Amino acid sequence: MARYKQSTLEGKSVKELRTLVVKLGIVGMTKRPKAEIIAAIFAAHGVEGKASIAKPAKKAAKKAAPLTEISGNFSSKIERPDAQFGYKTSTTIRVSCGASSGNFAVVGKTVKVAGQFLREVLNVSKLSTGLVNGKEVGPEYIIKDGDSLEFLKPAGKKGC
Amino acid sequence: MHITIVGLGGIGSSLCESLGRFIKYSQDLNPTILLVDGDTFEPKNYERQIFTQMGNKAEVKADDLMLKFSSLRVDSFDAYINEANIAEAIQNGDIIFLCVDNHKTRLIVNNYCKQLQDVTLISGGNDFEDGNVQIYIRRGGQDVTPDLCTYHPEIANPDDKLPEEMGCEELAQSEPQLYFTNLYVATLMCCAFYNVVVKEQYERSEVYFDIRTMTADAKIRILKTE
Repeated sequence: MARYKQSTLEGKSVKELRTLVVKLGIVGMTKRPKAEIIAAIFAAHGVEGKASIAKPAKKAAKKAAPLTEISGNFSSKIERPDAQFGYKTSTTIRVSCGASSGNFAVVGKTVKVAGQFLREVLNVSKLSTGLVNGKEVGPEYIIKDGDSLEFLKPAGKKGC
Repeated sequence: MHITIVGLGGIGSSLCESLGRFIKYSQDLNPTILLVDGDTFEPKNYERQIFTQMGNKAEVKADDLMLKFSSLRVDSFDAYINEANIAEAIQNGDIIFLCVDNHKTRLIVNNYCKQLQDVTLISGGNDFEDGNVQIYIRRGGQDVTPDLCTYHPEIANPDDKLPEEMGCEELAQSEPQLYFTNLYVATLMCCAFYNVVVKEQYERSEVYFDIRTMTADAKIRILKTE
């Protein structure tokens, strides 16, 4: 496939460029301005000195030395494949007790285990009942992604 | 509109000042206010309570409010609330601020409100540095928000006593409290009044706060079906 230098194309008149695009089979360019015609030619045939698309990569891969050994253990789990770049991908849910709250990675754990895990952080009482999405659940409830967990804190008694 | 404030200690004495000021300068609200307390102001109360003279808390605060906010209509009820006298203090349609220091009184008021057709009960309480406020609303004989006991078994099954059941020694041995904590509860109760009565919003019917972390967290409480 022919490659064109930018300086060569820019040296041609609009009439010459229109003749060239017809010859190259590029349609819809006969009434376009010079800059657009040049851009269309580059898009179709590339610029000399620049690699066009990633097609040569296949050849390069074939030429690379074969992979003979992998050492170490690898494992990964994409929790949120739709997460945008820069976002945390580990799943956390909001857990609160009284006025204290935070986001914690307790998905997959039971309410009982989460309560033990967060006892110090959120000041969760041993007797606290768990509410998931506002509804009372037992200690063996397994927390799911998207749940909101609250450990009930007793009401304040004093005031007078 | 009839407002009843039960308990005029650390929370109630601050609350009625703020509420009185708001009502006095509000264009739309013209309620009568009933102050309820069987206790008396003493010099030791100056640490956390707002009053101008010694005497029964309800009577002293009623005088204070009428002096400060001349057009306010304030009455006093010189007794601790109990099952025998509660009907004299609370009627259908009332807005009640419950600022007491024991769960047994909270249970009595809660159970009485459950029998009324329309009522707004705003209850506050605190420990030393944290506390909570609950909003219980009934309209047309139906609960709109959960009552005080639904999510609080400690109120449903109180392990404390009414003030009139306590001896002099027990009354004198009160646990220490912090004025700022009382003030925070009073402020949140006023906020609850503003949301429910002025803005007619009560989706979040309980709020917890902690003055050490300077945080408050309002909760959505759903009605439990039997």
